[in-house]
Amino acid sequence: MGLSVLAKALVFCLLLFPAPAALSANPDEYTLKLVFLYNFTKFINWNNETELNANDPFLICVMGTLPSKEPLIVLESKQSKNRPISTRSSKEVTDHRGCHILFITKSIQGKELSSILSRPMKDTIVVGETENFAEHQGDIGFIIDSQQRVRLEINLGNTQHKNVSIRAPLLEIASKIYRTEGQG
Amino acid sequence: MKLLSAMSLRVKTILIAMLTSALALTISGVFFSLYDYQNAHQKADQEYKVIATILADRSTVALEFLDRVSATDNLASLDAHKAITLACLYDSGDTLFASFHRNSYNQARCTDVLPTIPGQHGEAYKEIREPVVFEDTVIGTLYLLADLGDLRETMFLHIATSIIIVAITLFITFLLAVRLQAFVTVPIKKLQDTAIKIRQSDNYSLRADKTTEDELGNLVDAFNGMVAKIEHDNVALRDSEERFRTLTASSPVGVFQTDEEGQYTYVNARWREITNIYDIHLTQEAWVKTLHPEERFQVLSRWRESLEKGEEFRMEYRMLRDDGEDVNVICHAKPLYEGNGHIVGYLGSLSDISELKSVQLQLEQLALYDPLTKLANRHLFRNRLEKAIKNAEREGCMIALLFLDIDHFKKINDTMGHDQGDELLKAIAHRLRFCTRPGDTVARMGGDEFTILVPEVNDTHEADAIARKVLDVLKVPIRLTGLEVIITTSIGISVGLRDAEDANALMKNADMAMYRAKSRGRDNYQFFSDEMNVELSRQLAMEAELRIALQQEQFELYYQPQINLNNGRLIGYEALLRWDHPEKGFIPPSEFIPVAEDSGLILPIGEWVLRHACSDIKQFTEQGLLPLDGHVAVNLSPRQFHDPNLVSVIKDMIISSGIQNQQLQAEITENLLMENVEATIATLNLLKELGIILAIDDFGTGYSSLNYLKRLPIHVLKVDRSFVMDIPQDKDDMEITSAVIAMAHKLGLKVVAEGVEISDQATFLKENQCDFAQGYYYGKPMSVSSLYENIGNFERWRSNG
Repeated sequence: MGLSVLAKALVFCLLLFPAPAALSANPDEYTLKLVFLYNFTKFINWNNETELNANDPFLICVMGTLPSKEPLIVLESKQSKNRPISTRSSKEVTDHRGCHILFITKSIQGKELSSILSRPMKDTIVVGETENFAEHQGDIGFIIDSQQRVRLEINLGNTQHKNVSIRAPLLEIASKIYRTEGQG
Repeated sequence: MKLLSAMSLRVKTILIAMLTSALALTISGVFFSLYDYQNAHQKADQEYKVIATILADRSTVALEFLDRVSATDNLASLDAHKAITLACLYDSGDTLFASFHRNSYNQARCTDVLPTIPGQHGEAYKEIREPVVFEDTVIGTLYLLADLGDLRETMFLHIATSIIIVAITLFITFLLAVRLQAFVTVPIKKLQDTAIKIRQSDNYSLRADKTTEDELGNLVDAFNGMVAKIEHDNVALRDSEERFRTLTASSPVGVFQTDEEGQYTYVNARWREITNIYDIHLTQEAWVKTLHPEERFQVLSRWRESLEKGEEFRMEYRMLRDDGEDVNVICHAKPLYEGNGHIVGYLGSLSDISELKSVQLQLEQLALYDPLTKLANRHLFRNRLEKAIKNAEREGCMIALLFLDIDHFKKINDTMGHDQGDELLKAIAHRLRFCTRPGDTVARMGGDEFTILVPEVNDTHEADAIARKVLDVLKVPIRLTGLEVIITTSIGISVGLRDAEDANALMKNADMAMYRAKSRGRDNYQFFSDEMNVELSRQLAMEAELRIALQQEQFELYYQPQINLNNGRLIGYEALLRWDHPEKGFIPPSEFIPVAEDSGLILPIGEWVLRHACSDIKQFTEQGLLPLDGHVAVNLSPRQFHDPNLVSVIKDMIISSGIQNQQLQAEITENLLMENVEATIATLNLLKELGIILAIDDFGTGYSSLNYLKRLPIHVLKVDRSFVMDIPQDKDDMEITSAVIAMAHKLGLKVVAEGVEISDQATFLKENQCDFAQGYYYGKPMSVSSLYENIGNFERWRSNG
């Protein structure tokens, strides 16, 4: 079963599954973003993946407010790379340790966000949705393009110092990639 | 094929080169085009497959992240590939996710769902379906539609290129073939020109130029060798023909040559001489005119038959030349053949055989005809008889053979002389021809013997009629120069195939029958009978017995005394031969002497008689049975008399026996004298010179000519007993006897009368001055022993003296 099928299932099951072109800051948007988070587990390799047990789950953490937590529940029933998916969410800033992916919603901004981002997070991909998130200190930032579609921006300058590697196909769909000088 | 056959070698060579090139290029062009097309097809398939695989792989993220823009952009990269006109990306539910299509000429568009039926776009398009797989899961399908038009265009381009290459190559091939064929055709053309020139000019000294050392060079060598051989043969042929012309020009035989139609193409001078045709332009018609009208049709038929059948012509025929001369020729012509066996004409010879023919006719006359009478001779008669016998065997008819012998011809011949005799024979021949039919053959067998062959008779009456006619016709007096002669003939007739079945037997039978006719008084004819055969058998048996008699001394001499009528004294004896057969007893001389005469045994028997007579003369003289001036008379048969050894035999016997010459008297018959007077006189003279006495026996029974009698060197005449025996009853005989005695005395001859049996006869003879007598009245023939027993009588005869 492909992930796109899963995404659709999620849309059908949890949301009203509007067309991506019509997405906006609504539950459908977050459903889609959660599906993206799920897909990130497939296109990002963690250096310590091999050290993990087969039953050790990918942990997807969400900080901030979500319109609905049901999509997270659905995600936990899925697998990626033959490993289960686990989720953790909190409206407040919490500990990020153990999270493979940390999604910081736009409800967390300003200093809170900066403090989080200032933490050492070598093994965690930080995903945000605030403006210029990827450009500043985040690893991947969701943006809504002119056609109201969810797009990605990736900051390879950050991720290259982490114990992760982003696979080329993911880079292909990124609308923008930020690199430090010297990166090709 | 006719058109191809009529083409020149040059055109054929070019055509072959062009066709070969075209075929090779077409095959290779088609092959490579198809190969290229197939190869391009496979490459395109592989290329489409690779493109589809790459695109599918690159579409996985877009599908996973539902990123239609990326997916569409991804598909839009196919714009660089002109062949792919449509690309459709379907998600896992086969719903269209992203698409690409080329607007330029393709109206095809992606359907909302993945097409389930392949090949909807026809043969001109290629469909490629590639699953999009991520993490071993099919998350969508990539559908590509490739336009094969380019591929076909490429193939068509290849084909067009091939055609252009073929055309260019053919053009180059044509140029090369035109140029290169000269290497082959030019030498052949030169060879052909040379051959034509030789044929037109008959100049076999021409040679073809050899320009190459390859097979064509070898061909030129072979051609030149062949021409050289023909030239050599032609020279030899011309020489041979020249020799032939020279030879025929001086040939004594006419030589001619014709074409296959019989028209003359050559004749030599002698041919013109024979035919008397001197026209320069010789035609067959001119020759036909020379043929004798009687034989023209036959000769022309044979000649035309020979021409039609291609056979040899050989014929003897007559010509009647325009100068009126009748010429006999023999023509012999043989067909002349070409190498392939067809007749091209005739070569022949014409010989004038007129002289030869004439000589041949003369020789045939001589060989087959009697030169005197012009009748068939013995040889021709024999041939015709044998043919007649074969014909009779075949047809079942009869033939009659008449054997004629003119009665007493020798006497007539001797009397009249040979010239008259020949004239007589001619007259007889003429009359015999008159008596016979055209198909009969009259022949002269020799001397006075004639034969008549009647080849087809129905019964013996026909032969009978001819025989009567011959007898009657020959009896008609024949007038010769200065005298008239009447002749008769004796005829023997044998009838085939009744009496005999072969020529020899028929001749022998007729001869035998003729002798029968003679013995029956002449001037008659006799048919052969079996009785005659019996007689012949008897004679043959007797002949055998005579030989035995000679060996076994069965003969004995009897002696009959002869008395001098003047004084009654014994003057001698006549020795008479007796045959005392051991089984049959006494056989009279009249029976066995003719057999001995015919068989030739008369010669040894005659010698036996002479030897014993001489021996007895010696003994009788010593014993007093014969006076010293007496004699013993011995009869000489005609054959014995004509024996060339006769004189020497008698001389030897006289000497060996020691008797006096005059004690032996030789008696010959009057008929013997008349057969050949001159020879007889010669022999008699020789005997007379020997000193023996010569007497003519049986005088009066023949036809002695007084003229000849006068010339004969004889001493004694013996009057035949037929005259004496009827004395004194028959006055005629008495007168004849007295006349004979008187005539003999006039000629200075002594006369002995035979057959004196009674005293009246002795008295008559004495009265007529007959000198001597012999007969039963004086003593019958006695054996030697009886002579001794009757020695008293000798005393009486002595005493009478």
